[in-house]
Amino acid sequence: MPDPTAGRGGATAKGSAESPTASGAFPLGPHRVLIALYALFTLAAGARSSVQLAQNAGVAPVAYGLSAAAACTYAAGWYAIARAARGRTALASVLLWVELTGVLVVGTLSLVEPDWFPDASVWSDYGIGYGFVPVALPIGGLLWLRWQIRRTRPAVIDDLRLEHDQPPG
Amino acid sequence: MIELVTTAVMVLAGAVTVFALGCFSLAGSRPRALDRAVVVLEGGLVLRAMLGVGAIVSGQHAFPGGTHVAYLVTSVAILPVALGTLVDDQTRWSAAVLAVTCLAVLVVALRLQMTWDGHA
Repeated sequence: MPDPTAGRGGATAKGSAESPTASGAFPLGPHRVLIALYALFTLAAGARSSVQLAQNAGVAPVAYGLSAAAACTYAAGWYAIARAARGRTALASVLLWVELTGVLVVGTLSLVEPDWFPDASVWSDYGIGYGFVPVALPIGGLLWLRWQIRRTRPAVIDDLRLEHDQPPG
Repeated sequence: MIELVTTAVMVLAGAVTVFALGCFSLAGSRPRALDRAVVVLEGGLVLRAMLGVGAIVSGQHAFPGGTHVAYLVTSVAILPVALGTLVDDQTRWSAAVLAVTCLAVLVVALRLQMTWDGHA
């Protein structure tokens, strides 16, 4: 029985921008930019929330807690995109929508109910403090994911067909 | 002196960002010149860090706080980590990763100067 993961990797090798590395360890392509951005935002949001919660937790607990939640979301998104690059897209398709919903809800609440946010969180005003990258990131991720799913779907169907056509035993 | 080096690092980071974006837009693969530019930028960041640590240790400048130390460590570590992940990747997307990283270095250098001056 063919290994579905291997089949997807084989499909990856067909794309010019998505050729696997020499060691075959990690596929190349546009997702590497997303992974770099997620890594940076995990670091930025994590460090920011850690310092704020350690020094002034009582000043704006909601905002600082949301920044910590954003850091966890970015860390999970980082992992999910790395998985999706190898063809396992289910986790990323859930997490990116969760992230986008979080940015939109927190961004809207920070504008509608400013009293709830005595200090800004990472997602306040849709991430204006970070050049709106927090709102652009999940949108970019979802667009890439759509492209990635379309690209890998034929390989999955090929794998299933091979599996079905193979004689038993 | 340290303000001058920080400003030079920020200008260089901006220039390397533009260069990396140009490589991403035009080149088929990442040129070696981009890697060299990143190494020069890292040299500037290390020099900035050494001057800062030297000024604190010699007592010329008060300890600027833990946030500054976090930015200092990040400023020196970020480029080697980024280059390390791109060792076997010479595609145009690796130039885009370096553009993002150099832009982050620019922001970190700005925050470094702000925390050094006590404005943040």
